[in-house]
Amino acid sequence: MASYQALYRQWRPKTFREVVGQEHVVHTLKSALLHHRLVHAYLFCGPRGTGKTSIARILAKALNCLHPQEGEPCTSCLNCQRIDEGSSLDVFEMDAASHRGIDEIRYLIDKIPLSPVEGKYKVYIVDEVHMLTTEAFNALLKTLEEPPPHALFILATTEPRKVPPTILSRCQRFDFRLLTPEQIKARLNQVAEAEGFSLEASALNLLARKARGSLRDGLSLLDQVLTASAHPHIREEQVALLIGTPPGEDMVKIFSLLADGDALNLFYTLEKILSRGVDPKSLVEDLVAWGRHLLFLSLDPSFDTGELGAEGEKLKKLAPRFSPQRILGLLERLQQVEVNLRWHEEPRFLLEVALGDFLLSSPPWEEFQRRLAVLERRVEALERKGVGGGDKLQALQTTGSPSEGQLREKWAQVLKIARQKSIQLQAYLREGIPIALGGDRLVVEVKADFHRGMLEQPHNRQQVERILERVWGYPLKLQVVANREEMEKEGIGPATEIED
Amino acid sequence: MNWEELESSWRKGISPVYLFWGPESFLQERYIKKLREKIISPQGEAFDYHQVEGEGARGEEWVMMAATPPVLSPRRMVVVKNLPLELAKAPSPALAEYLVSPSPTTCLVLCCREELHKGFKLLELVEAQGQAVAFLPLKGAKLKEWLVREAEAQGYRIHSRAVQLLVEGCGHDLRLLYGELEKLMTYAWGDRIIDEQKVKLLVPQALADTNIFALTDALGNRQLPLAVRYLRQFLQQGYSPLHLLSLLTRQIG
Repeated sequence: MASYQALYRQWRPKTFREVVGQEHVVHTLKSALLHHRLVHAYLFCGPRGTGKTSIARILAKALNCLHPQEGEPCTSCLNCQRIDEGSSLDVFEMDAASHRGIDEIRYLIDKIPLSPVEGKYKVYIVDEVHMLTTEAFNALLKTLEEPPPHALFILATTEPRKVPPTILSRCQRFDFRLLTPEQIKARLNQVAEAEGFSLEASALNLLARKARGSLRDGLSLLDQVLTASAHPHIREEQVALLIGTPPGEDMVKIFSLLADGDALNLFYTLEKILSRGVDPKSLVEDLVAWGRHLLFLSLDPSFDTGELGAEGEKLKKLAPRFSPQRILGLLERLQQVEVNLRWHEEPRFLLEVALGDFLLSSPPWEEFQRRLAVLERRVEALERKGVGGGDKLQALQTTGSPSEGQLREKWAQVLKIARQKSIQLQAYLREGIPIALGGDRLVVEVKADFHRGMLEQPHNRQQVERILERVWGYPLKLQVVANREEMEKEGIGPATEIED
Repeated sequence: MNWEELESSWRKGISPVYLFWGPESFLQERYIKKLREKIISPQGEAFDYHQVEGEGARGEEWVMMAATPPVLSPRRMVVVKNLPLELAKAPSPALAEYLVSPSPTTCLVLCCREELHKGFKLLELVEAQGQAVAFLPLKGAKLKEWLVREAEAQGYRIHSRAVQLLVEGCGHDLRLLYGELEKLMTYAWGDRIIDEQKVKLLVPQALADTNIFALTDALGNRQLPLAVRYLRQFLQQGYSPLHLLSLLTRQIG
């Protein structure tokens, strides 16, 4: 029975044409092959699964191919086939991670002066070259300084910064980039179709996202999914279940419950997701990833959420409901969960505590201080007027309560209209915070007594009250109070009450 | 003599002894190659060209080689690489003796990567019979001119902004710069123009070090969305977060 070959090996590109992404590398190498501008040492750097080894093998084939076509290997001649099988006598592959000593490099280098047997070049592919020992690097350097014309080195590494500069400067360096989710999606779709499966768009999105720019990881995940699926049409839930990650729909739900501040339903939802067998670690990772998107969205509404698919649009709508500070707070808590997960027996508990803490946690300290100050002033005002006497000021219960939200919104309108009338007027008002609205009065607190004085000048007061009427739709009297601390410091008495 | 005058001096004849000194090893190698092509006939390569390691040697061996007449070429060429500084200060008796009356049928090239100064015995000895050639690092406008000339020599046009980016990204290591230029020329085979965009595409170092300014600027001006966008670009290119952090601290600190 033929043994099963993993998808990423089956679908390793065999020609430059088949390579996904890395156009800048492919274009340059083909041009070098066509116009005889090859150098004797190449360094391929870049994250894993981005095509370094694949392109190295294609280059080896193109160099030794008996019938190359426009820089592409023919893939059918004897040399191409032998290189594909790994049995070529002229192409040497070495994994420096497991063969890192001087002896191994010497073994390789000693035979360099001998001419190639089958093709035109002897190609040495050294993977993970940064793992070589210092002595091995020195031995390699001597060869790179003056290699025979028939030798060509392709060094590949994920960490170019660990390669000595003397080696770097002797190589032509190519930096491979992470693949975009679109590139990965396209390739996964192609592979799935060729294998007789069709994937729903959101399922592809999920796989592409989980691949994190590495096509090899993407194909491995696809491999798992295809192996386990009995049905040729694959849906997102199946993929999510198989790779133990929650589908995008659930993520949107979690974030919308976070926005609502609905802790109870949030816990139920978490419970439901985890009971489906989703790996808690993977859930936390996803929450962090989506939280990051949310953070970017809250900073820049035009941020591209393409990789989240249709759910990205829904997340976009949620973004205005969080301030960047709030999201950062959430991300920090999740980060902590990620760290603690390793030591904790009950991952669900950790997650609940973190999210619950986020929801039930008090808003930032400054907010608290501000609210306390407002309360104090209100109590003072009440005391002065006598409890229960006079107009009752509409209480501002909590931040985020509709009344305060509305008040702020209307205040913004007031400022806008004031700006149209006079820049000074707006400047005086800008210093003010509307702190209470009651009966026919609007109480505005300003920071300095100066602003209070200016606003109370009859001319200005008239103008402001006209604006208030325009905004609220009914006549309102303006009451200005100056900041208490400021007044005390300057020895001024309590804010003057406005006589109706 | 400076390396730039070397080639034209060959019109008057090749000296029996050269001393190449200075840290610019890329150019030293290039001129050794040129000299070799000039002196050694292709069939004489195996007989008349020798390259030896200077480190740890005293010179007796090279003198023997240099004193031997050539076989197939008009002259023999002996190249001594990595000549140690001590030997430049105080040449061994065998070397000193040879340099007083070098063989007219040999071209001995001594290469030292160090900077030599007036008063070094070897400089005096060589200059009496041959040429001492300085290979000092190219800097500033000269470096840029060199890059433009290199590109033009192969029929390419390189924009000044591209030159600027290359130099900012790769420093003044000519080997590295030439390597990047060669890559760019291969890429731009079709239109023979090297512009800013191509440099950014193929020379990530250039991109990183220019954009790190953009990133710090964005941070300084508190343009959060812009800063985040730059940061994402870096990460997309596979930059490690730690490296970025160090670049940032270097810029800000």
